[in-house]
This record gives sequence, structure tokens and C-alpha cells, in this order.
Amino acid sequence: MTTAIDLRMLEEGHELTPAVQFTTTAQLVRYAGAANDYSGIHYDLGYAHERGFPDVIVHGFLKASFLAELACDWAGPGSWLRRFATRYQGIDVVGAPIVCRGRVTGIRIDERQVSLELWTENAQGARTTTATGQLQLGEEDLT
Amino acid sequence: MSRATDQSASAAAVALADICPDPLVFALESGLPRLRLLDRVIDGGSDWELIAASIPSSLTAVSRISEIVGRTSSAGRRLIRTCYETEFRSTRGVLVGRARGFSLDVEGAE
Amino acid sequence: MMPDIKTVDVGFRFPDHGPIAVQLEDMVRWAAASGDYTAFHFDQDEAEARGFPAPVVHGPWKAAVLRSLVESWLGAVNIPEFSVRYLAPDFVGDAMVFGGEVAAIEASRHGRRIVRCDLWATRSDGVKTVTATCVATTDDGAEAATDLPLQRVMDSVRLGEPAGTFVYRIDGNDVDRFVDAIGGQRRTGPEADIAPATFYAALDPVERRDLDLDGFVQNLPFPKIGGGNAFNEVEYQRPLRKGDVITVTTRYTEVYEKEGSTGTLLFRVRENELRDADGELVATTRCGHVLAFDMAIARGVTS
Repeated sequence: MTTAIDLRMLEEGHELTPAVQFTTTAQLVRYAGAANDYSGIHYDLGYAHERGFPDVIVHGFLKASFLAELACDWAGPGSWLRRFATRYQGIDVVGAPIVCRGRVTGIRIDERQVSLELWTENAQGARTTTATGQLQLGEEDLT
Repeated sequence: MSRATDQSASAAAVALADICPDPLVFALESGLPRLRLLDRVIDGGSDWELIAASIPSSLTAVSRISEIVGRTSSAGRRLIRTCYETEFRSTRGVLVGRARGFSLDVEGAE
Repeated sequence: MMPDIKTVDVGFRFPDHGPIAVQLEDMVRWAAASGDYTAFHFDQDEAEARGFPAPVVHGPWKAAVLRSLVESWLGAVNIPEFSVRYLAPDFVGDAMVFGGEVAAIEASRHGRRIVRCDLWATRSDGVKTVTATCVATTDDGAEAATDLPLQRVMDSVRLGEPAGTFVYRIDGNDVDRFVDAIGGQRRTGPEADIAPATFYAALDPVERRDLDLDGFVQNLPFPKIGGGNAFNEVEYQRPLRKGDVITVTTRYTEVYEKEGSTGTLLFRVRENELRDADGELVATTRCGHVLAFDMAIARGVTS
């Protein structure tokens, strides 16, 4: 398996190309089904209003998934996350843009591992989810 | 001496005294000796002290003789008080409560 | 009307219980309940051989009578401390009288009422045979409680013990559905069977409601003002794959509270161990859940 990253050229502080996610209620329902997470706060508008939110809110795990996918997409085929830890700092309501960002914090050439910090930002620039990950890259392309 | 108890009643309804109605007998059942030091031995009292906010469903009880104190009564008779103490802990080792039974050795016949 | 633990005053004298004649059956039943089969408590000859006119009443039986009287006098209460001294013997057939009074009343840190009682028993010749002191408090579950009952929360999630084990088969369609839901790209080629890093969420027995130990905290008598996942962590030994049959064991490892800007935060942290069909460890996960309570409102209501 080959990988898109050339570790020898990579530097700490390297920023991943950001991705923006616009969620929809349909996506939240889809995620609820896929993850078996049926908490009403993610699809029941009346309940979300009762809890004092202006709209249904995005699953924390879905935001975590956006960040994990950002990392793996960047690292290319064959990569997988050995460790991934997410902290939920604030909520995002459905439909609001979620900017997903990441930065390289460590490189272990021999193990072919890259450490990352990742986060989501809302439209105001506030971090609503922060994460750290340790990527295992695929085998080096020797061709 | 230690032993495990398992009580299935709901935690809210259970008091330490329900698990350990007689602290002296409870400690003796775990294998501790009943000391007989003077002419007569009587049951001197019992204490129950609940430390945790509630009683978990599984407890480990550890009994020991925690104190032996001698004194002389106003009538000039010797008294020895032996404290049999049992500590109840959760499976994680958190102290849940304590029960004490007091055995009194008394000098002179009734 | 009888006052209860919330209304009783210092010096209140409880109505006497008795005189009651202690029955031999009471002693036999107590022997069975307590394990104290010392014969002079139920055998007339043994009692006489020891110089007593009749079988001797078990001391802890007298303590148990007093304890149940406190409960009936004061209503539903906790009795965290009970201390009794046996001063003289009582005999089967003799008429005993049990009594008590309120010695002191204190307020706990958060306003729970603590009632100290002096208790006693007398026999028919007037000799005081038992004295006892006890501490009774309003029940933790009652509305007067203004602390989060952390110990009971710990018990409700069986802190430290395996709380449940579940087996999940990872169907290929489940993984594809998950990838689609998170807007990811399905993997292709030799790694097509690898599940996304966050797929462990779909194997969490608590998120799935396969394991539900929430009843106790959901019914706590404090206004809940928020809550949700606080953090999630995973460490993989290898990726999860389509076709895996994963055995998940959940254990709650931490229960703690923190003061937050919005209220009192109750954290419950659980760990899952994911093993494959060969028993090999695939991943361990840690999930922190938080509930925010407005204890100020709770205190205001009861003060």
C-alpha cells in the first residue's frame, strides 16, 4: 500500500488543508441510525427548544468523525489512526458551517507515524471540538 | 479475619445493622476468639457507623479485636472491655461502614 | 400530630413503646437472624444454671427495637450512627418499656437536618437496662438533600466493576452506512474492509442503549441544565474491520463532580474493551459524559 505523504519532506507545524462541513437534519438522522445513537437532541426540534437550543445540535461523535476523516484523507491510502481523542468544547447547530482544521505536531519517521492536533471552528472562529491523533501511515512507496 | 457478604435487597432500604445485626457475634463468626479473662463475660454494647452515603450490593467484612481496655469499677471490681470491630468495604476497597461489639469481662460472681 | 424529622424540636419526648412482654419466640427468631445461638437466651434451664430467673433478652435485639422505633417516630430517615450500651439484663416474659427524646438538632453543610436522639429501655422493676444514642438525618433521596449523592451515583454505575458485556458483529453494510453518514469516502482495494476511526462509537453499549445505568442520575431531584459527551478517546491495536465479531466490555472508571460556570457538573467516565473473536484486544475506548445540575436552584427551593 502506498501513501501520499513523504515523511522526509514533512515538517512539524504543517497545516492540513481545511474542510468545511454543512450538516443537514437528514445527515444527523443518518448518523443516528449508523451509530445507533438516538438521543433526541440531534433530530427532535421541540426537544432541542426545551433544552434551550435554537435548533437540533450536531453529534459530538460526528464532528469527531469529520476530523478523523480529514486526517486519514490527508494521509492517504493505508493510513489509520492508532489513537484518537476528542474533547467537546461547544455545540454546533445543524446547518451552521463547521470548519475542520489540523496541524502536524510530531513525526516519527522510523515508525511511519504522525501526530496531529485537529479542531473544528464555528463561524465565529471559536473551537467547538478539539482532538489529538496519532496516524499510522501506510507502507512507503519504494517505486 | 475477612469474609464477603452479598445482600440483594435494595441499597436504599438496607442499613448496616440489617447486614450485621450483632457486631460481636458477627466478628466471632469470622473466627476471632472470645476472650474470657475474668470470672464472667457479658455483652457490653454495640455501635454501628455508616460512613458511605449508601451500601453497595457487595461488601467485604474484615473483623479484628481493635482494643482491650482494663479498668476498675466504682465497687472495686476489675473490668476488661474488648472491642470487636468489623469494617465493611466495597469491592473497590472504599470504607462503607464500621460495626463494633463490646465484650465485657467482669471480676466476681453475679 | 407526631412531628417528623423535619419538624421535631429539641427536647421532644417520643411516646413510650410498651410495656411489652418479650416473647421466647422473639429470642428464637433473633437467634436465627443474628446467628447468636447462646442457649441462655432461649433455654430456661441454661438461664437458671447461669443464675438468671428466665432466658436473657439479646442486647442487639433491644438495639434493633430502638432503631426501628426511631424510624417509626421520625419517618423515613437515615441512621448513620447508632451506639448502644447494655447496662443490665432483661428477661423473657418481663414487660419492657422503650423510650427516647431529641437531644440536639444540627444542620449539615448544605442544610440537611441532623437529629441526635437519646434512647433507653427499662424493665418492670424500673431499672434502666439499655441506653443508646443515635444520629438520624433526612434521607438522601428526599427533597431536602442538596448534595449530589456521589457514592450512590458510583453504586448505580457499578463503578470499577464490569457493567456489561455485549457482542457485536460488524457487518460490511454497517460500515458503509457509517462512512456515508459521516460524509467520508468508502475505502477501496485491499483496505476496503477498514472501518473509520470513529466507528467505535457504533459499538458503544451506552450510546446504543444496550447498557442503560442512567436511571439513578436521570431521577435525581435537581434541575438538569445540560449534558452530553465531554470527551471520547480510542486506542487501537489494529483497525476495526468488516466481518469482525467484537466483544465489548464496559466498565465505569470514574465518577466525579466539578463546579462549572453554569452549575455543578457530574462526570461519569466509562471504558470499553473491544476484543475480537480470537480474544485479541483490538481497542480500548474512554468516554466521558457530563450532566450539569443547578444546585443553587435546588438549595433555594428547600431553604
